[in-house]
Amino acid sequence: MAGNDSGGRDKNRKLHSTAFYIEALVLAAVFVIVILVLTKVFALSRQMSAGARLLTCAVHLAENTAEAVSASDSPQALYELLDEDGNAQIYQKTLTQDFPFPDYVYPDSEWECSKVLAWYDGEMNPAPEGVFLVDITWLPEEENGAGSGRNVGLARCFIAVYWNGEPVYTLETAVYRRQGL
Amino acid sequence: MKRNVSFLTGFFTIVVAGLVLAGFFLAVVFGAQTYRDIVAGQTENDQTRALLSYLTTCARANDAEGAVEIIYEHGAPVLVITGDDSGYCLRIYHQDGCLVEDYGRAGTELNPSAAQIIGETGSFQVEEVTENTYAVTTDAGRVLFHVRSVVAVESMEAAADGWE
Repeated sequence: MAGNDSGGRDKNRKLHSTAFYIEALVLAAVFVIVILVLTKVFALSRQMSAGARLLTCAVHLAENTAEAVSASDSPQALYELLDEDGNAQIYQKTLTQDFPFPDYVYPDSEWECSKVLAWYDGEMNPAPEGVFLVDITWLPEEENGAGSGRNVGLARCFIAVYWNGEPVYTLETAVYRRQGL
Repeated sequence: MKRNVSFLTGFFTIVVAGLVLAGFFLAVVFGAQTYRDIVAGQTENDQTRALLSYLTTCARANDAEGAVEIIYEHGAPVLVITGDDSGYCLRIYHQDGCLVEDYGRAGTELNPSAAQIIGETGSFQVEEVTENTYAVTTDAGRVLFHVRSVVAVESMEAAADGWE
């Protein structure tokens, strides 16, 4: 009888110990899951904060460029206004289907437009090899359709800001030119 | 044997409790650091918007011929924006590490004690880069603004001359 009693007590103790270990492991697992979720939330919030900073810089650069456009009556004037320490380039381009503004209805025929590119660093200072690229497409509107040779003085400008090649912000504006191209 | 089992149970309990506590403290530290960085970033964004966008908004709200002028007080630049013919104007300048603006009669001395703080900046420079286009440089960056009304007035005058 005594032998049976001590065997029963040992069995109970083992059961209790096993239950305790399992509960502790489950508790630890739940805690680890909660920590992982919190870590993911913190990382996501950091990412969103960095995105907000990028967007603020991109909007400011686009706003500055739009002001420069309004102060220019030709792509060359725009280039001279934006160029500082060689951070800008200008060239002629034929407008094709590959255009960052899909909502804009452009004619079927290919149009010659001017492109001005300007680079800025992370602090929005002009830098030839900066991370921000401001891409300006200067598209003069012509009376009676493209190729007529008559300029009515309005030039549309499409401003796109890229960060390390990724588009961040786009802006469309226009300027009335006193002197046609 | 019983002592070993008790020792192992106690050791296991302490280890699990220790891991839980360590994870808790790491989460708190990481979370606090993340929160601090996010607030700092938000403050920086607000400062950038306040310093840069406010200037262009001011200029556009008072866009008129001859509205913008740059003067120098004690060698420091002052951006003067005149909105109307009242004789009063907005004067934006750098004072005690801040960009401030005051509203006063044109041609009178600046009044820093009554000036309103726009934002913090260690530097403030203004220059006319081209005709009717001004660049303002602060710690937050450089902002361009163009006075459009002058161009509009000149275009209207040219058109009127053409009709005559």
